[in-house]
Amino acid sequence: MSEQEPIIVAFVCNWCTFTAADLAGTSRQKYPPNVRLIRMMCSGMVDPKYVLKAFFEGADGVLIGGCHPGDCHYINGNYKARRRVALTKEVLAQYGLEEDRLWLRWIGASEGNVFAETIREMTEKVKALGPTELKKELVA
Amino acid sequence: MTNCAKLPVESGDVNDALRGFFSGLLEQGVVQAVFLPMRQPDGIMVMHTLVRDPEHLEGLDPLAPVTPTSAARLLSSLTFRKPGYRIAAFLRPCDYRAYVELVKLKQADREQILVVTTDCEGRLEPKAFLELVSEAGDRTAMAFHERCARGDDTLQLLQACRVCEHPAHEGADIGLRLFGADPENELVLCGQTDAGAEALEALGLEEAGEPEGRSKALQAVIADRTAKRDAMIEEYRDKSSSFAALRDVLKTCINCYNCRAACPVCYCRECVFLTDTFRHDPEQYFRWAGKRGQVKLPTDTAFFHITRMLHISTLCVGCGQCSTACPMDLPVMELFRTAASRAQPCFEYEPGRSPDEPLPLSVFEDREFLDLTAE
Repeated sequence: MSEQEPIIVAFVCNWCTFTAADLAGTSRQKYPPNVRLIRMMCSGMVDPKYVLKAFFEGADGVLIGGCHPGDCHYINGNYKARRRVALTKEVLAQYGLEEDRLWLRWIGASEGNVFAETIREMTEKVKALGPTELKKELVA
Repeated sequence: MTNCAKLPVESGDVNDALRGFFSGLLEQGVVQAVFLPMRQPDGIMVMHTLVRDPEHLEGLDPLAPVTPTSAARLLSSLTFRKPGYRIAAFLRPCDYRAYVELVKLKQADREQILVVTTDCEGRLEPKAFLELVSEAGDRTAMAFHERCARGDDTLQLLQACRVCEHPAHEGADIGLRLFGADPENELVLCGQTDAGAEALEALGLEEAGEPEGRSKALQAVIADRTAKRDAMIEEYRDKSSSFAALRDVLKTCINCYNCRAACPVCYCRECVFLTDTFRHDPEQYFRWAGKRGQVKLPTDTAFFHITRMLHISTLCVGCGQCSTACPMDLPVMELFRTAASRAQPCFEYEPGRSPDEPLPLSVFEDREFLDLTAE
């Protein structure tokens, strides 16, 4: 992969989006190799500091994938994730983080194609943005 | 409901009048303890003190313009398990607002507390307070009030107080009126809740009305401070509009985490920044230096501050304890209020307003923030 290839860190829930990623693989769907999957038990346990840490460590984009509303294995973790993502976007926007670098998507266990399509779309958008300021500047 | 009473003040000694009030609460059995700012035995520093014996109220000094540590946090150490007795606690509006957040975070109890608050002219940095005490001695609180009243801007007020748009709190049980009032001659206390009104009644104090000029004076203070707050937020939006700019604002931070320890709403018993998560593998530093050519130590400085903003900017009441605690005089309060000015409206949340409003991150609606998931 060249220097210009963006890195996307994806926090995916065990029950839906991770299963969808698995399905995308077993059904031979193609998607860019830019994504690094981190399996979480629930999108509701993605603390904003994990997202922040990913950006500090060189991620160009962060995706959080959870179950569709109403489908959460833990009843409402995805709804809580949504508020947390809203907050994280709002706070990080103050420091110039672009809107398109943090995505939240509901991808159900049967939606391998949606997972592949989401990664394709996000990789393209993030590539267009170029590397993050955190990657270029020495911010620690 | 406002049911006000007045305490006569003799020869300008407000503390004597307030002593009568608080010892009355103890003697009438309205409460079994009071928790308020008291002169310590050296007669100089003022600290919150829990008092059960009215004889021990000699050194009380509630209006001394200093709160060396958050009184909300101190009170929560008495009430994180529901106390079996009632406490009258004297809290400035910011401390009560922080206390309300702690109640919602289940770190404090509201039911057993009779909250007495005051119209707040502001506080001094602890060192500036000590200087004022050395000039004014026992009259420090009134000397401060006189200088505030005549608009003396040489007072070293906390920056947080200069931009505080909440100089009073309607939700406390009893409110002491200072704006538009005449505390040199009489103190007016108003019951703002049933419990507050009952407490005033139990003491059999002389009835009074709201001080005539208060509403206007309060509005003027709020308008002045709101304008200053907006100017500050605009300035810091500019100063922290990129990660590199934020790094430059934080360049002297030494990762002491005093701001975290001083913050009343940063309540986790075990903070992640004090765990081994941040005791990195020694080789890690070498790898980081390899990735970008260099690595500054201590690491994780901006990460620490932004994480705190992500965790508690929705709850920040702007008390300014973080800035007071900072040994490097960083504008921590300014950065937090700037972050909060975006985070709080996001959930239409005003921290400290009422214990009945849910914490924004503990609730959700079925259909909200739909644009986030491209629905």
